[in-house]
Amino acid sequence: MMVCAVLLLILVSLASLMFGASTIAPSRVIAWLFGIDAGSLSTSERTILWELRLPRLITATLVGASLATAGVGFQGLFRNPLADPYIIGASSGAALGVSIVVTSGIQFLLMGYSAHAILAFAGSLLTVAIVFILGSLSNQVSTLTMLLAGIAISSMINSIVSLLMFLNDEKAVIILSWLMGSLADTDWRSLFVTAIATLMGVTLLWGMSRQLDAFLLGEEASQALGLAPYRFRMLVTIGASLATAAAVSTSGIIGFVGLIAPQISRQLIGPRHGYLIPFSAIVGAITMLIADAVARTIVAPAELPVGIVTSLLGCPFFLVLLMRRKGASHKSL
Amino acid sequence: MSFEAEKISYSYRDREVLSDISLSIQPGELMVLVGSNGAGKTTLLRTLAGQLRPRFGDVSICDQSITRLSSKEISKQLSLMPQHEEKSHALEIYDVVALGRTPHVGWWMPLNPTDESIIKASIEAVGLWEMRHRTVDTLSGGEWRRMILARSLAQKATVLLLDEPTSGLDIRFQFECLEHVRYLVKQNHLMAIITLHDLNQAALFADRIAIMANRIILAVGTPSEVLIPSIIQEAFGIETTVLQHPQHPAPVIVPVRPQQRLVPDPPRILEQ
Repeated sequence: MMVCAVLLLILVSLASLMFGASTIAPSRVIAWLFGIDAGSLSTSERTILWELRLPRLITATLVGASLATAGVGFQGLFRNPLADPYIIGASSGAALGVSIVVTSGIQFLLMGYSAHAILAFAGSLLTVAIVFILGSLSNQVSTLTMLLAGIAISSMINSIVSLLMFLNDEKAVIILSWLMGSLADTDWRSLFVTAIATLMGVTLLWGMSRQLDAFLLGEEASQALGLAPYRFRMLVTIGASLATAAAVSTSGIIGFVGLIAPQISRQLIGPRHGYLIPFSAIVGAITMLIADAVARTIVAPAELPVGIVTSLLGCPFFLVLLMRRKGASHKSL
Repeated sequence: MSFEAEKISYSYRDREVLSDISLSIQPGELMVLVGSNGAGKTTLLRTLAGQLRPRFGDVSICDQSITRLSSKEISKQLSLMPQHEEKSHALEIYDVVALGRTPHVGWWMPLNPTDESIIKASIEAVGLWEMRHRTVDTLSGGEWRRMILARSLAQKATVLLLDEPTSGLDIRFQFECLEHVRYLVKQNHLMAIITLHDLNQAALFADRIAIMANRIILAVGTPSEVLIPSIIQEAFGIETTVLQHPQHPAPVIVPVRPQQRLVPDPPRILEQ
């Protein structure tokens, strides 16, 4: 199963290098990848591949993988198959960061990163940190408190974002287009930090596989197996939020991938996190690549926001999968 | 080599749930904890397991205070079987029992062949080896209990704390479960504290019985020492007659309907 997924990922990656505003034959793409193209590609084709399609391919892969992994992390932490990477406010925080940049008109670049990306990243992590601290304040620390605090905080932040858009209606469109998610502004410079944050988040969560397995048994039972509940909660939150922040700061808010990739993977490969996490990451990457390919070819030379495509295409696929499940295991993780 | 609680108290917010409780058990001993609903049995087990920190007093294994041990160190020596656990997940029986090895192998290292043989022996001990690949969400109550027992065995702990291990089982599995636990305790010189609701089962299987009522331990002793009408009256507020078991040296407790009825025609209440 894992091998199939990797092969599919390679195939989809090749396809996404081939297709776009102009199509490049697969044999020439492969030759170029192995550095033996011997002049069969024109200079403009080479520029398209190197400057546009390859960085975009890598970004889409990273974003899909990080959203899917963060989804697995939060679903495990809240023991709820409905949890997604944005459940405790990572997306609202990022949206607030971007809204502040857009409405105040600050512009700066840091290590190749725009003010948008940096404030989105910071806003996302800061919101999750606030939610985590609030959730841990009450005497009886439980994941439910954290979940509720997350919902409260993110709806508050969402209304601040709406307020900013309402007060600056000429700039609302810019914020809105960011909220819809896009992979259009990707280049090599912006890849580096995204890649590092994604890798850190995914590795941390993968390393916690056995703890996530134990947590499936419930809070008390996992404690009886020696799980330190507070540290577990904190590490899962850090891992999943790093991955989510990396994704939202590069591509805006892309919905549904972080919810369905873990679900699909769980049905195909089972609930053990040691397999589930890498598998979900691959499924997430494949989903993103397909959605992005559709987004940039269907109305070429214009582009659809990829966030719209993931929800539009992901939803029916997900529903079909749901209907095929047996009744008893509906609630199962 | 004993497990002891010395004068422990526990409060939830301002409400005292355990008050000045002392207990001690020796290797090879099975103690049954009985008491009315809400007497504090589950809280006591969780405090003994180090999951709740007592306000006063101390719990120790082999003269070592568990407040100084990490949760991992505790779980190497002590296994708590909680009353409720999440069942709606698709882990296989084998995976769940294998998680019992985590206190020993840690959260990162892979299982080695010794661990695998311990897991196999534990699953075989409860008779689930043939169905080890069944997922948890498809198990019946009895199969699920046996799986959890196997996980406690795989943990290789010397202290077993089992919170109502027989609830939800039919009478055959109740007896098999208790028989099994008693055999393991005697065979491997373990120390077990079990909560039960059925006084007659407690009398049959316990070496000693501790009766809890209203935050304190009312009495500790052999079944025939503590299961007497006056203590049962104090703990549960019901009238009973105590008989002798025809085949075992154990008392049999028979409830008596009260002389003066509060309600003219009391509805029949099934014992839980």
